[in-house]
Amino acid sequence: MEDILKILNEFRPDINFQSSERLIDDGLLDSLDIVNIVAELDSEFDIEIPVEEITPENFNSVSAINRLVDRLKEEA
Amino acid sequence: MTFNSLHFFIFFPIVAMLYYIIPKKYQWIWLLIVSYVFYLLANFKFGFFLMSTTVTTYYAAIGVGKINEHQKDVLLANKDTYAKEQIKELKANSKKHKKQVVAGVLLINFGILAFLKYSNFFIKSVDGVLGAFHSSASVPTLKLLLPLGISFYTFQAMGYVIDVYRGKYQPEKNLAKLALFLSFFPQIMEGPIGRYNELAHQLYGQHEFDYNNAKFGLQLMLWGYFKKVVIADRAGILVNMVYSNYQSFSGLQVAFVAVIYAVQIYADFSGYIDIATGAAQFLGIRLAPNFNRPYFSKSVSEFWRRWHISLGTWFKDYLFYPLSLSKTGINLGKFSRKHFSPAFAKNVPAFFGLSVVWLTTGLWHGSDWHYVIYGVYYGALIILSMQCKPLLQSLTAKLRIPTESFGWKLFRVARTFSLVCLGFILFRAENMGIAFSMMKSIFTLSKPALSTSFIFNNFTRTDFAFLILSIIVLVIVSLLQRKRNLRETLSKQNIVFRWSIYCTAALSVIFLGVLASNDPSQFIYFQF
Repeated sequence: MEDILKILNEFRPDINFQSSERLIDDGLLDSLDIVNIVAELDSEFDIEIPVEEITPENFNSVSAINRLVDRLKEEA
Repeated sequence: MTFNSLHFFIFFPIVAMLYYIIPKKYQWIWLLIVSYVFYLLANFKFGFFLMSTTVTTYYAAIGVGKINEHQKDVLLANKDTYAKEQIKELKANSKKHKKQVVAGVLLINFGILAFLKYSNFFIKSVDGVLGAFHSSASVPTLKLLLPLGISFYTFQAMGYVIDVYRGKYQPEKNLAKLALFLSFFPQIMEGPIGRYNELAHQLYGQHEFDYNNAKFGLQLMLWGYFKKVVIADRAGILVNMVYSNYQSFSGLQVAFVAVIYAVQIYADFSGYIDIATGAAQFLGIRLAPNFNRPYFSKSVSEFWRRWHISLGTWFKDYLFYPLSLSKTGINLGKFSRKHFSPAFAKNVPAFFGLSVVWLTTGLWHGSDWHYVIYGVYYGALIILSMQCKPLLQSLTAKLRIPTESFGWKLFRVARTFSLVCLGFILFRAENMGIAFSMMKSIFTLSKPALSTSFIFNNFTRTDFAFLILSIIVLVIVSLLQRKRNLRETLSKQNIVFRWSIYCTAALSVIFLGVLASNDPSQFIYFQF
């Protein structure tokens, strides 16, 4: 969780990620942010986040991203 | 048939009336029949292309579904015996087969679209190159039929197949139902490009007549007609005059018409979408939103999130993400980290995706170089703004610019709107030469030897006054929409006020609209 938070803060230091549960729904993160974040998560955790997993449900909050990363690490 | 033709004013009431009279379980069949009638009345031959897309899409999705089912069955039968490696291998095999099916259907359908739309562009470009080498050889262009709405329904169909491939939903088992999803008459010509999981269940569902849906639907249609015939078609007269003879006008006049064209294309396209959305709402069906007051955007990328939304999200989901996060995109990012600054390198996968998306967006709009440059223009602006964002942020902080102030926001909106108007010159001009000459005329504030007035036989002072007045109405409505839902607000007003508004709008459409009884002016986006 801390690692993910670090990556997110690196790309968008202006957002308070811990308090937001609607990062995508409220338009806080756009598609350009998502690409940067996914590319970084892929390289940091040695996973491959497939395009079909890029959904608002998986990226609306830090905990959702964390769950996605954990699941993909398990499947790898 | 078009929404502004007399036929439609007979067609729609009959469609809507019978829709609510017939047994509800047949409503979707009725919609399929009338959708094909609506489409085939434009040109009978178009039906062949629509049906071939429908059939290939149907079988491809069914094929993908069967591969998924087979994988599931094998996994279930061997759940206790398969090792992790075997499961992985099975999944990889299934994925490979699914990819082959999807690649095949994409190739067929985008192949048809590309052949019909871009063959002559390719031939002309080759001809131009041959001409540059003083060759006397000339390649004849082809006489091709471009079915109306082909770019819209092809994108909708391919989005559906890709979603089935990604496992987002099960394939549609009924060919006729899929045919309705791809041909629903309000949206087939100009969109919005629908998503199967949002639209299909509404099309196949049973709908009771709902007074509010009917009322709000008709209101939206009326507003769409107002935008189309009162604003867009009148603006079109002025725009056509200046674009066909721009040398006779001053730089200021050209700049003014560049703004008027932005109004025309918005009123035309969003007007169509309002009529489509209103007609669908009357039938109890909600279409995807396509515009969100785009000219109030504070940046170019925000503008594209609020203009032609259904195309933007299509490109985002099916082109931008897969490309940016492809091996090529990621490897380009890794390569850049080694050779360039980290600030630049981190954006490289997105830059790669954006470059292809904007080139495709340009080409999607038309087969000519000025459309390609139109796409490149926006791609370059967005990439540049991404790269310069940190610099601009530190600059505004150093200059202590109050970024939340109204004045700064207004400046950003005006800056975005100016860039959009310049982009539309590339879009509207016949060719690149004319577009650049017009831009030069604007920036040098050129003055022709003999000044020409906007006012002439086909465009009187009264026309000019009505145009300005109707644009003011459009701006006021857009400003009011920011805070509230105008249709709901209006429905709460007293009956006299409400009906005054309805009657004024309807009478404006009838008496102030630029109506040509035999040849209603085409909607701009029909050509795409």
